[in-house]
Amino acid sequence: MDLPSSDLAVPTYYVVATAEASSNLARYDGVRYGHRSTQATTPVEMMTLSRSEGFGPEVKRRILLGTFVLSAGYADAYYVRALRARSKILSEHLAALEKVDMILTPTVPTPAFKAGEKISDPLQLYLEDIFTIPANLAGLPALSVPCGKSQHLPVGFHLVGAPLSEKKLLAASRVFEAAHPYRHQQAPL
Amino acid sequence: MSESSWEIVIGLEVHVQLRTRTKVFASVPWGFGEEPNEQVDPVVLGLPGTLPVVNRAAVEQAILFGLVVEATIPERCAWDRKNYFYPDNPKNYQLTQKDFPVTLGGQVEIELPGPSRNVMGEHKMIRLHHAHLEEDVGKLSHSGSGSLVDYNRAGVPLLEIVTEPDLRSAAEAAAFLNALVAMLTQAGVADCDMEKGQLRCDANVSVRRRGDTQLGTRTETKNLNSISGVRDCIQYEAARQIRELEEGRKITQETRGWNAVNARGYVLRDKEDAHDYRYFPDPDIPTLKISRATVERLQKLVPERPFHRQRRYMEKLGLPYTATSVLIADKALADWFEAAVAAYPQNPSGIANWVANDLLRDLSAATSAPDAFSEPSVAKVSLADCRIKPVQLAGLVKITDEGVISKQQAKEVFAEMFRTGQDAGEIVNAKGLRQNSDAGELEKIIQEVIADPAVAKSIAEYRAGNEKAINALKGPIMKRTQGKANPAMIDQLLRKHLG
Repeated sequence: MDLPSSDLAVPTYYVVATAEASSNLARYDGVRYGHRSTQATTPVEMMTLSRSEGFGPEVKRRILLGTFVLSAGYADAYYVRALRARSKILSEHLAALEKVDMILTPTVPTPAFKAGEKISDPLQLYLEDIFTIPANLAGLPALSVPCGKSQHLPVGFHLVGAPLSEKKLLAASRVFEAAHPYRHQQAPL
Repeated sequence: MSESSWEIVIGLEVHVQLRTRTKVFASVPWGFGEEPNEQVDPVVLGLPGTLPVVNRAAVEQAILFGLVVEATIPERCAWDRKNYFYPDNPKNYQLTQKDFPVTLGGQVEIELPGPSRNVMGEHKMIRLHHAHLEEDVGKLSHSGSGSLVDYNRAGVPLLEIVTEPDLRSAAEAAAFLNALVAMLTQAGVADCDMEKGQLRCDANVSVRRRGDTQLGTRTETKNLNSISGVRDCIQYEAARQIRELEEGRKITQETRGWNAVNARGYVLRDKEDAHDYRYFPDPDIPTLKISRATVERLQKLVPERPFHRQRRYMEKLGLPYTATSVLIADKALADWFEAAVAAYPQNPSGIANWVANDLLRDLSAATSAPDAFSEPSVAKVSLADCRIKPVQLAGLVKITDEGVISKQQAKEVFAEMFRTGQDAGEIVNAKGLRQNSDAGELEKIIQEVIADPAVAKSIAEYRAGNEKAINALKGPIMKRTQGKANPAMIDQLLRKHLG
């Protein structure tokens, strides 16, 4: 099985997802609902201030990135290329799933890190999603199953199937869980 | 200013609210004149978590339009987001179709004003670039204490019809809009009531020296909401551009507004301030496949195009241009006319005259005077309220042609028919209007009349070869029969007695 475009998944995802987020979150403008700034004197200023005051830093980062990748002069280099990479990732997965029933990977590359530990390094944080993102980009069904411990911390594996193969994925994880009931084990807090 | 050495080049973008019961991505109904924010739901307001569902009726109306203008209906159409922040735009993006519109190409036949009202003007085909579906936005109003927004209009299905730059004058642009409105309304695609904002237009105008093949720099004037506004704005803008160029200045590519009150245009924003709409494919609405079966089903709903109908009336039915231009303007009227012709195919011109003159005049008088009908008056001339049925008018024309009643009597029968909806035969019998075609009785009257010395001079003149002198005898005969005599028979018998 060969998925040569796997390394494109994270950068592709962060272009597509931030582009969509920048547009999806545009409705939070204080006009109809949500936080509304009391400092504004005009409708447009009210929208601008409500958004500046209401959104947190990670949301603002994604809106800025998404707005940039959709901007005239940059959309072809980022957004349009990301859509092409996305189609490539999908077609590679479909070809692979012709040969195998499911694709198994770890759910995340490392055991859980401490809360806030990587907050100052968003790129490192984004790479935590390397195994789960391809299924999301390709629109394929996937699930995560607890499968034991690493460095005393619980870890899981990730199964990706062909379109509409949810039943097969659920059946496989049920068989695994029946044999290895890790889900009943709690991590020490 | 030497306007004749300049050529004006115009392209229009026409926004039409489609006739559907509900909005384009939500199941909430829409209409005009409701209280603010009554016609909204969570989708229209863009509440978090809501998703659009495409209204099949809106897509089908758009396809029907495409078939009416002989456009290509691609097998797929898709939606894009046009992102811009404005309080009348609930999601701060507008769902529209940028790359895969619902129709491609097509054409609209227009008629330019003729040398007079009775003479057909030149015809011309205006090519369409495409038409795409999108959602209308809300309305913002500013009051002293703040700004208010009404989302009733938000999400109303809009079809944006984009022409090629084929129009060459303000009159052509007006003729195009008239032809487009006729096609849209006759197909039931849209009502195009401009007073309700159901049709709005952006005009792209440029000028160039006659003979130039390159297009000049264009300006776009937004949001014209009447045909006269479009005409006035184009005249103003073309004259402004010609003046600028003749005085050695350049035209700036800009977006302009139009003030209909003082009939002047103004700059809204220039190219530097142009919006970056950050279009991208909408991830919420899947690409829509248009089945050929749907297209074939809608093809059956395409009505005869107005100018096709006009040519058929002139060529096949021998109608004069003036009557045809009245009939084709209203599909219901033309259908009514054709039903009457079907009932009495011998005299289409006679029927057309009654319809285009008497019927329309009386309908319009009846609708402006509420007492004429027992129903409350309606705003527009309505054939649906007309008591005369097509077959009854056909009957009236038939008995007139057969000489049962005179043309004068026919007017009286028509008036009664309009009032009561009775058949011509019933009215003729009830009023005793039947023309007297009893030769014996008529001959007796004729003999009495020509014996009268008062007409001796006319008789002598007729016998001396003055054909027209015979008419002086017909009046007294008609009078003696109380107008019931058959004029053809009078003529025939008179000649016999005088000859």
